[in-house]
Amino acid sequence: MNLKRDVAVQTYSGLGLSALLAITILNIMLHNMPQSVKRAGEKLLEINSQDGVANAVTTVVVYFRGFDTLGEIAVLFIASLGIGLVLSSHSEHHHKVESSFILKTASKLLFPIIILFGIYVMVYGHLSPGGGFQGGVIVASAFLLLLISHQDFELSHSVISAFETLAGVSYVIIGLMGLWILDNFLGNFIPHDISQMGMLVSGGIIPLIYIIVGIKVGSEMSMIVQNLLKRSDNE
Amino acid sequence: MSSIYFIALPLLFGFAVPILSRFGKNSVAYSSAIMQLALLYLAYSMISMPNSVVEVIAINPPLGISLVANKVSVAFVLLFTLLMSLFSIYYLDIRRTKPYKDENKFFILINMLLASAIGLVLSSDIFNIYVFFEIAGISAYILSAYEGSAKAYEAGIKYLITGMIASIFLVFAIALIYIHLGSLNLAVLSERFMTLPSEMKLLISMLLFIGFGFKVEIFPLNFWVTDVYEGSSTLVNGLFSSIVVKAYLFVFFHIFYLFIPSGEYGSFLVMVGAITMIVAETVALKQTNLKRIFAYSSLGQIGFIFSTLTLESSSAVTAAIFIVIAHSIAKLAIFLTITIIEHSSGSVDISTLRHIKSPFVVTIFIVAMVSLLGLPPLLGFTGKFLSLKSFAVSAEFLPLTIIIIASVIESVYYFKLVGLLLDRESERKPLPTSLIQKSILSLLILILVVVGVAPWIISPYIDQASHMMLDNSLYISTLLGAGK
Repeated sequence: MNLKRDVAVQTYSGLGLSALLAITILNIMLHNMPQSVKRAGEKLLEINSQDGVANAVTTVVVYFRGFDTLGEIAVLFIASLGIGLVLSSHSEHHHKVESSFILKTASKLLFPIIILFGIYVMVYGHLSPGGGFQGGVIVASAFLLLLISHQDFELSHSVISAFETLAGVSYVIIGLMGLWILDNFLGNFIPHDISQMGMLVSGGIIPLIYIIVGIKVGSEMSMIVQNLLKRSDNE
Repeated sequence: MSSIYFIALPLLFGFAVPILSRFGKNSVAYSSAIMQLALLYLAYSMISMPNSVVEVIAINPPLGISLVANKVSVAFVLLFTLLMSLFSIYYLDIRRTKPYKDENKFFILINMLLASAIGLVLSSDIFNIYVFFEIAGISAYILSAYEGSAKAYEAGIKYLITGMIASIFLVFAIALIYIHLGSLNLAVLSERFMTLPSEMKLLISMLLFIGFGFKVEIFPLNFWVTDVYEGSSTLVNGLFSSIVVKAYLFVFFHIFYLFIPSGEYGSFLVMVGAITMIVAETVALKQTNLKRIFAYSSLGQIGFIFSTLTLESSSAVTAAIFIVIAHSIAKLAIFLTITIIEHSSGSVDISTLRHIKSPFVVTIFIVAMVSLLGLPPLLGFTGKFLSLKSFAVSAEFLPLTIIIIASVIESVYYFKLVGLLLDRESERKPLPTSLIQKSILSLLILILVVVGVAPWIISPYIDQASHMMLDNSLYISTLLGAGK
C-alpha cells in the first residue's frame, strides 16, 4: 500500500508534536519556573505510625496504595501470561550443552542461600528495606541460576501455577475480608497495636500481603525466565 | 452494595482460573459468563441509588484511593457489563465450533479488560487510573495477537509500541502533576490545577493529550488503529470498539472537565475531533476489507463523540452519552455479525456480502448501519440530532459543517454495503445461524429500535448523568467529604 506516504505523514506529525513539546519545555525553562514543589509524602508519614509498621515505604506501597499494588500484580500476571502464550506456540527441542563442573557445583551451593535470602527480604519487608517485589525477584534469580547451569532442570508448570493462583486469590480475598469486616476494601482487619512496632509479627495484614506479593512475583518471574530461556534454546 | 466488586470479582476470577479449570472443560467459560451477569445485575441495582457513593479503599481521600459511583459512571459500568455479558454468552455458542486455542487465557484476558475498563471509569486517583490504563493496554495487546498468525503478531506489536509511547507521556504528566500539585486525588487536583503557571499547565495538558490521545484514537495519533483491527480477531474487535475506547474516552473527558473547567483548549479539541471524523470517513471510502471499513467508521464516530464532548454543555454531554450507547451496541452487533460471515466464508472482503443468503443477518447488518448513520427511528438518530443541535446552539459552525460533510461521506460507503447485501444478481449461499446467536443479535438490535423510538425511557437518567459529569463542585464535595 502507500507505505512511503504513511511513514512520511507519521514522521512529520511526530516531528511536529516533538517540536511543540520542545518549545513548551524551553518556555518553562526561560520563564524560570518557581519551585513550588509540594510534599505529599510528609502527610503520609504522619499517619504511617497508626498501622504499626516500621518501614514507612511498605505502608505506602502495600496499604495506603494497596489497590495500585493489586493492579501491578495483575499487570505482571497478564504480562507473564502473554509471554507464555506467544512463546508456547513454538515447538520445543533443546540442544543440550553440558555446563562445567564448577558452575554446577557452585550453583547447587548458592541456590539454597539465595532462596533463603529472598524469603528473608520478603518476610522482613515491613521492618527493613526490601519486600515482596524485591524478594520475589531474588527467588526468581535463584531459579534462573539453576536453569542456566542445569540443562535438564525444568520448573513444573503446575506447581508454579498453584503458587501464583494461591497468592493472587488470597490477595483479593484479604481485600474482600477487609470489606466485609471493616467495610473498607483492603482495610487492616488484623489487630495491629502500635506497641508491636518493630516486631516480626506487627502491622496486621501488611506483612501478610507483602509475602503474598513476594510469592506471586517470584512465581511469575520464574515462569517468565523459563519461557524466555526455552525460547532462546530453540534458535 | 459496594462498587469495589466490579473490579475485585473479575480480578479474583482471573487469578482463580487455574483452580476453576480443574472442575471440567466448560467450567471456566460458564463461570465467567455467570460472574459477568452477576456484575450486570449489581450495576443495574446501582442505577436507582439517589446519591453518589464513594468507596474508600484503605485510607480516606485525598490521600487514599477511592472509587466514585455516581449517575454517569454507573451508566458506563452498566453499558460495559451488559455488552461484556452478551459477548460472553455469544462466545459460549461460538466456542462449540471454533474455540480459541488455550481458551482459559482468553477468559482471563477479557475479564481483566472488563475490570480495567470499569476501573478507569470509577477511579478517582490519577495514578490508579494509570494502573488501569496499563492493565487494559496489556490485555488488549495480547488479545490482538491472540490468534498467532503473522497479521495478528503485527497487530499486537504495533499496539504494544504505540501503547508504550502513550504510557511514557502519561506517566511523565502524572509525575509533573505530583511534583507541582502535591496530590494524585482528582478532586484536589481539580481545585489546584488552575493555580499552576500557564506554561506548566500547557505542558501537562499537552502530555496528557498525547498520552490519552493514542488510546482515544484521535487524529493524528490514530494511524495504528486500523492495522490492529485488521490483525485481531473479529470478536475481539467488537470489544475494542464497544468497551475499551469508550472507557478511555470517558476518562479523558472526566479529567478534562475537572482540570480545565473554563474550557481553555476547547476550540482546539473540537477541531481535532472534527478532523478525526472527516479523515477517517474519507479513507474508509476506499477500503475493501470489512474489518478495516468498520475500524475507520469507529474512528469517525469517536471523532464525532470527541468533538461533541468538547462543547462542555450539558445538552452536548447528553448527546454524547446517547451516541456512545448507540455506537457501542451497533458496533458490537456488526462485529458479531461479521464473525458469522467470516466463519462460514473464511474471508472478510466486502464481496462476501454478495454471497450470503440470510434475511436475518442482512436485517441485523442494515439496521445497525442505519443506526450508526443516525437515521430515525433508531437510537443513533437521537444522539446525532441532539449533538448537531448543541453544535448549532454553541455557534460552532465550522466543526458542524465538517461533521455534516463527513456524515454524507459515511452514508456513501454504508449504502455501498447495503447495495451489496441486497444485490439481486449474485448467487447466494445460505448462512447458518444458531439460536443463541440470533437471540443475542436480536436483543442488541431491539435495544437500538426500542430506545430509538422511545428515547424518554433513558433520557431523564442521562440528563442527570450529564449534569453530574459537568458539576465539578459536587464531585469535589462528595469525594473529599467521604470518610469513615
